[in-house]
Amino acid sequence: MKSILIIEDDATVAEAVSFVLERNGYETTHVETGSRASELLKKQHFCGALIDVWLGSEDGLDVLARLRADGNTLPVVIMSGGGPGHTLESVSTRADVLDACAVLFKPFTDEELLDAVNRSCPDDSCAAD
Amino acid sequence: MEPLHKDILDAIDRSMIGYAIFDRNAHIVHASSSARHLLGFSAQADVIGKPWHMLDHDTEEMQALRWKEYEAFLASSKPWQGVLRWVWPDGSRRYYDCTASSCSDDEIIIVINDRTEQVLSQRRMAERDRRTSNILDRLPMGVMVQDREGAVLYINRELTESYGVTAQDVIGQKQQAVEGLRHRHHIEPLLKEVMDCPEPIIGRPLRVNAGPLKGTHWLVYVYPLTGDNGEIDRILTVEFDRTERVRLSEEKGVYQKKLYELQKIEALNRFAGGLAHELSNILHPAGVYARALKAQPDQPDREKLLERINTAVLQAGDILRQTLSMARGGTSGLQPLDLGMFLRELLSYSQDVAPTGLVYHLDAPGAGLFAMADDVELRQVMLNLLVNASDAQKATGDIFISAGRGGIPPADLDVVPSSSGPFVWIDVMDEGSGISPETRSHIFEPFFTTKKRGKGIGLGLAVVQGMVTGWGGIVSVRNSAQGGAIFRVWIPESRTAPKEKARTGQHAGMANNGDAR
Repeated sequence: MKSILIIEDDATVAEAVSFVLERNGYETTHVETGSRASELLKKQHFCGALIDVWLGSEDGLDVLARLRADGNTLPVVIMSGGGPGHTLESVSTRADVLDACAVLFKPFTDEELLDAVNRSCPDDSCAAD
Repeated sequence: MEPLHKDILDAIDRSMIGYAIFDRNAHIVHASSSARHLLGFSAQADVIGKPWHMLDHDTEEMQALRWKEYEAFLASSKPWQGVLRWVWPDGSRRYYDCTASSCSDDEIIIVINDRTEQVLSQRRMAERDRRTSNILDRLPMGVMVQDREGAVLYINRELTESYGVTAQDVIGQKQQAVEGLRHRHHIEPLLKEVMDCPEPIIGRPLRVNAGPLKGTHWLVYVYPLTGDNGEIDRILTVEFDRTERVRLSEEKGVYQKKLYELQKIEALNRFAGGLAHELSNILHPAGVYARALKAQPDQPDREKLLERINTAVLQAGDILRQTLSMARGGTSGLQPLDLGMFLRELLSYSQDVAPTGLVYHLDAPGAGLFAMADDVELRQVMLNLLVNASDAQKATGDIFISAGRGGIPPADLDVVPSSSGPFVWIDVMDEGSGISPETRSHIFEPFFTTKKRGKGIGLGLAVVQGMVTGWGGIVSVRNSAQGGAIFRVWIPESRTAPKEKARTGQHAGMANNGDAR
């Protein structure tokens, strides 16, 4: 089963995203902060990650930037719901620079989510077991 | 010489007014004992037959001048009166009031009265005046002394240069009589005011509307000066040119207003971003669950999913209501409030509904602390702060509320109060763990919250700041020595007391969803 890491500070959004992914054959793990995500990524294999842009006091794009700086090439889909200074353009541009596979703007449809996740990790052999 | 004259002269001589008699060639015929003493000769000194004008130790030029003067006197055949400078053997200078007149065809009598002390003290005074005047001329302010009739007794350089006149043109003249000073008529009413009521005028701001100083701003001090008889005989005016300062403060006002506008736009941008983020996070799960239910209406966790959708709708509703209360512009409800009375009423009501174990303590003046605010809004502000304080200490323990006046809001706040004060303030101090510098920089931003979803949406303090800035005030926050937070609401002070019965409105039951912390 392909496993996806969800980095999202809003528990209700994380739950809704898991709801869709799990019903479509994915396994999900939810963390609320970038540092928790880094720890987990060191000891556990994931096929991809969904990162929210506004993580309370941190910026999800900064979290992705740190991962990339550490040499992590995990396929990543960015989720954004706006927020001060987070226009659609600015988020898309920066996500592109950081080699994110897709940017989803909330609220997005289940098809958009699944399509983005499938595209980011097309290789079935990636599944851990 | 007649014996009677001799007696009179001897009597005068005894009172230290000396006399001497010369012939027309200036040779001394007789010198009285006082004259000898005053001119620095001993009683035995042989001066008879010597030319008087060469008997002192002054320079030859001076003695030559003296001779010329003497010749002029002889030629005029009129009595001479003047001051004689005389140098003693020790080099000290003496000054004598002298009169010279013919006492016969070939003899001249000169009477000598010592004025050395007077002349020297006059010189010292003149020197002192010159020094004072030097200082006054270097001051960057106008100084003028006039007599009761308005004639100028003194004018310093700042004023002569301002009006394009010279001191010589002005001294002794009335203001109106000097062309340049005619433009100084803006000072006239102040002079009259001081003459009518002999109290100094301290720092009266004046704007000059005509003449070469048109458009300049001055701060004027006028002092009545009394003479020896206790009557006002002179008026001193001191004038500071404040034009540059006024211009700067006007410019500052304009920039501050522009900055304020920019802050409002920036706040609006932030608000729109925050609102978008909040609503999208609420709507997204609702959409997911609605689609799931549509695809499979009879799924097992149907009840749970419907409840999630319902919660999302209610949360969005909360945000919209608070947004509306924040958008409620206008401060038409501004009125003087008695803060002591307001707080006593508010806290007695709040204490009634507070959780057991939470105690409010109020320290506010009994009367006389007046704020200019909207009472319904102030109630909402206070309830928000009280709920926050309560949340910070898990709804138990003591919360201290105090009120006072004075001080200025800290300068490091993101927004600037539109009022320049004076301010009165209300402090709300809790026993929580305080506010970190990181949190403090965002605490008044919309949608900033440290609470879990459902507990607060991060609009409470933004609403509070919005209302208080609407009255011209501001909210600041710091940590107390004990570690808790102190929120201070700065409100412009009201100069007038509230009208009787214009009290604090009803106990408006408020929706409050305790926030940011």
